[in-house]
Amino acid sequence: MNGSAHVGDQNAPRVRIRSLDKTNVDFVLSNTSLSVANSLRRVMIAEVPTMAIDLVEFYENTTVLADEYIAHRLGLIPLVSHTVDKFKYTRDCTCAEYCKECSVEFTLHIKCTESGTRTVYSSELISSNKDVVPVLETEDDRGAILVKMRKGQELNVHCIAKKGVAKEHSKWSPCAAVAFEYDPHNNLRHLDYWYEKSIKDEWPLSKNALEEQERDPSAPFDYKAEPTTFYFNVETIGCLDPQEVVTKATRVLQEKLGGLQLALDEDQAPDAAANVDDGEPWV
Amino acid sequence: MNAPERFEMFLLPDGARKIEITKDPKMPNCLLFKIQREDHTIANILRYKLLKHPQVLFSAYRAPHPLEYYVELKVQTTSRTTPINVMLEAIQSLMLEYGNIRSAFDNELFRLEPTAADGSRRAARAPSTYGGFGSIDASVSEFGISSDISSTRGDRADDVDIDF
Ligand SMILES: [Zn+2]
Repeated sequence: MNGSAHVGDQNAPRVRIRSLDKTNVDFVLSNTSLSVANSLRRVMIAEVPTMAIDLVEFYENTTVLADEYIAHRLGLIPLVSHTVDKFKYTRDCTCAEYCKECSVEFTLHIKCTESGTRTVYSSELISSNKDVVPVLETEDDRGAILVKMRKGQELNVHCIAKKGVAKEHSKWSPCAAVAFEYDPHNNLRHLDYWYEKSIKDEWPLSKNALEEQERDPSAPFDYKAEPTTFYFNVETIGCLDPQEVVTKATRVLQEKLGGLQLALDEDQAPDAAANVDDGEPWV
Repeated sequence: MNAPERFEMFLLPDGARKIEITKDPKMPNCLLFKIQREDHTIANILRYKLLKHPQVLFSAYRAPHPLEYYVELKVQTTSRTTPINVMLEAIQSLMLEYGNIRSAFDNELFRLEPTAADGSRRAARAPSTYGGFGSIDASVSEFGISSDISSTRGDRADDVDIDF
């Protein structure tokens, strides 16, 4: 499935990237519908798979934080997930519990022997896979703080990171935030602003307003007008590049549609029931 | 305690059909598609695409309950086609549209960083020496609107200290 032949068509969607860096991509999507733009937003937030710690075994925990509390903190640590496509979901895997096809193991064994406070950082997790490691911003970044210890306290855990989507738990979301705006001048009147005296004074325009014209207030209202231009800013937490999140989201949507097409085709030909959807990626 | 498992939202149970189709008893040429384990993401784009189809007379969806993970999409067409046919056309058209969005996005990446957007860059990525990031670091100044958002970054949540 690749529609590249149609790029350049008058009716094909257009994209203009306004800025791109390590954690953000700011782009304008135009010549498409609100429902398509919104589906992209929803999928980027909740259905682009990443890796995150999902199982934690505690061998020793004499810190002040409860096991559950530390397990939760471990789950929220962003893991570099550029290789996520090479992993299976554990539920689709042939293994009994977990294996290297569907998971990555992390170990963390720290004992505080000094008199001061020993701070444990996510960068101290030892990964079984060099491609799936805690996200660090710079070479001297130590990552997120997991727990602080005093002399004699010890933490010894074994973690299993699995592939997942944020629909199951938001720890799997690649996005910190997805900014989404259309019709900055409210020409379409999709918004009904609350105001005291003046909408113009009380509701400042966003920077996206520079990209569009305000409707002539004396012209009759165009009740058939639809939004066609959408302003996105995708901010990631570092497990995937922002541009990767956008392209993966389009693939996820195509896979979902492919699953529906398959289901409809099966319905058309009931004898083809042998061709059962096994939940594998379709494209 | 009796909350449904989260994966129930997207995992089709064994033996369940992805789409159940029933005829509407009161409207001619009208089908109700009960789509399992999908939500507004899929239902809304299909509904909208179907409404744009010249042979579609009616198209609407609902998500009946937040803890029942299916959507219902009702489609009525003229007698010149069938709801199943227009559904297939809508699906095809949407798959093409997302492909076009991805191509347009990749073209933009190529414009920003010609060496980095050949589609194989993820596979060819060398493992970074440190944990995160690496790869594309496009300069944005030449595109007019500079990234005032990104310049204020760097204070992400991992700087947050635990306050005992
Ligand atoms: Zn496995």
